[in-house]
Amino acid sequence: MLKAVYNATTTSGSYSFEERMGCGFGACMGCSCKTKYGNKRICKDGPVLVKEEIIW
Amino acid sequence: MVNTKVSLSGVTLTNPVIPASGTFGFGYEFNEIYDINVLGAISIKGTTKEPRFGNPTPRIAECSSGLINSIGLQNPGIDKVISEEIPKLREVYYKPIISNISGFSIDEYVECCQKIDAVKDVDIIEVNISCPNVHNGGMSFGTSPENARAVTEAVKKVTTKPIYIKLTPNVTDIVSIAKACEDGGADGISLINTSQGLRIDLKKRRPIIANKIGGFSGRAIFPIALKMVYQVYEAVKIPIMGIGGVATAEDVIEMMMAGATAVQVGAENLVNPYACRDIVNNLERVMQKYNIKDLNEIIGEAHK
Repeated sequence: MLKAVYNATTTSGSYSFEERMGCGFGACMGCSCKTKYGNKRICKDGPVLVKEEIIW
Repeated sequence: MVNTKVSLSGVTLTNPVIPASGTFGFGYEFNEIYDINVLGAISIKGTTKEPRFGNPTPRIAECSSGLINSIGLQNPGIDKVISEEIPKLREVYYKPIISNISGFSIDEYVECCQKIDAVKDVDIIEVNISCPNVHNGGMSFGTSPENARAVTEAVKKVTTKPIYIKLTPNVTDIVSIAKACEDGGADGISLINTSQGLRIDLKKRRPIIANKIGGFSGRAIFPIALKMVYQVYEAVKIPIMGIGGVATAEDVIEMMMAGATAVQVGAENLVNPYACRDIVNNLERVMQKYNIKDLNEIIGEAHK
């Protein structure tokens, strides 16, 4: 659904992601994702990513 | 007063409780929630020659009494671990550091071990030949005695620090692998790494984990780990770090009675982030309850 919103809009914005997590505070690397600003952890560096950095 | 001090190949630990590699980051993350200097030692996140993003997500699936993971050795690479992560841990932590090394070829193990051996702050090198979540490496070195011995001999040639080989339970004869490591010159054995498991999402009708099969750990595997520590203790003379499903001070004592000199706590850190601290805090009380004055006296005691 997030991807559909992303594709349907031309404005910038913030997107709140979900992922299955192990520790929940940045130690286990269970919820990592790639972004244009490097690898991020949804739990610690997210869950909100700005549109400009998102890689689907 | 009871004695909780143990020694791993000349490295003294104030207690035998060690967070297991992969469940505790580079340690400093946990220092935000408790003083990690209560720990006996820390086994830091598994490190490879090159930086790795790891496997696609989802990488985690919960189970009764455990969890499945398929991280795939995400780490910033050996050079960055040495230049950034270990110094960052050292700022907040003064106890022994165990560095966990993985590779995809014997040359990679050798190169990483050689580099980490030169780091003053590292006390023990744990060579992981048991990761179930990467192809053409990891576990493939730990499933045959010949390969396990070859890796051990190769890294021993280029190192001066104690080498502990971390073994996989996914073999038919754990004893022959452990013996091969001992014959190859290993200073100790860490066992076990994760078993393997699968969960399926009923709504999607597909495996939960993107990589489908992952490593299964947590309280559910404690008896499997205990059995393997028990078997290996009878076959080798070198010390064992017992790993697998340890969640309480009672588990630590049980693991030591089976033959472990020190004990690592893995998945429980993801269930209760204070698990290691709680185990350390409970250890003396539980020792008194079972009339144990010195932990060194119970190592392998179940064999007598």
